[in-house]
Amino acid sequence: MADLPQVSLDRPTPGQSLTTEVGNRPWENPPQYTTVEEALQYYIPRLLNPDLQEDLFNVLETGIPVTLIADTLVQGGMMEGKHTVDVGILALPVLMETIGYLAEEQNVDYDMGTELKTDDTPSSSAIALAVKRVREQQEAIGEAPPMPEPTPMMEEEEAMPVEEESMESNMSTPPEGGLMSRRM
Amino acid sequence: MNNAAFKAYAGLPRPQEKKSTSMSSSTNTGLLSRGMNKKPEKKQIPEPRQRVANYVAELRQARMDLKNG
Repeated sequence: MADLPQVSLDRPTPGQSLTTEVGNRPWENPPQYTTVEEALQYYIPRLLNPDLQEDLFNVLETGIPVTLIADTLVQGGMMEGKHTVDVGILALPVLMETIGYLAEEQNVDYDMGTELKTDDTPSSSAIALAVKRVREQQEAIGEAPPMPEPTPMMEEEEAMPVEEESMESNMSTPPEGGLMSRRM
Repeated sequence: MNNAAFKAYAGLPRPQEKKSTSMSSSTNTGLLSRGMNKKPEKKQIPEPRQRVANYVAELRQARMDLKNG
C-alpha cells in the first residue's frame, strides 16, 4: 500500500501565541542588534569559536547545505530577540559566505546549497502511482475477452479501408479552380 | 527550494565597484582651474542590501582564491 502523507501534529495550537502577556517573548521586545553589521558582529565571533567550528564542520561533512545551517543560525537569533527578521535575512548571505570560507580554509567538503538540483530518482509517490497503473493495465489485459477469429464479414470490412484511403488521397489534393469556377 | 537563505543569496544585487579617487596627472587642480571641484563630494552610505552585496563579494573572492590555490 502506498504511504499516505502524514499530518504533522507537532505544531502550536491556533491562538497559543496570545496566551502570554505581550512582551514576555524575546521576539516581542525591541531587538538587541538593529543593523546588519551589529548582527554580524554577534554571529561571526561565534562561527570563529574553535569549539563550535568542530561541530560545524562535522555537520557540513554529513552533506547538510550551508544555506540550511545559516538559516537555522539566524532563526535562533531571531527567536532570542537578538535582531529582527529583516536584519536576519540581510545577514544570511554574509554568514553563508563566511561558513563557506571557513570550510574551504579547513579543506572540508561542503555544499553551499545555492544550486538547483534536478534529482532523476523518482519519488516514492511517483513509483506507487506507476505500480498502480501497471497493475491496472495487467488486470485489463487479463480480463479482456479473447480476440474473435476472423469471419468472412470481417475480411470484407478489412478490404473497405483501401477505398477510404483512396478517397482521402483524392480529397487531399486541392481543387484547381476557385470557389466560383465552373465545373469541368 | 523554499529556503530563505537560498533566496536571499540569489537575490543579492551586484556589488558596487570601488571608485578610484586618484586624479590623473593631466588635470589641473589649482584654485583657478576649471576642473576644480567646488564642493567636496558627500560620502554616500549605500543601502543595507548593497552593503551586504559588497561584503559577500569580498568574502566570495577570498573563498575562490582559496579554492583555486
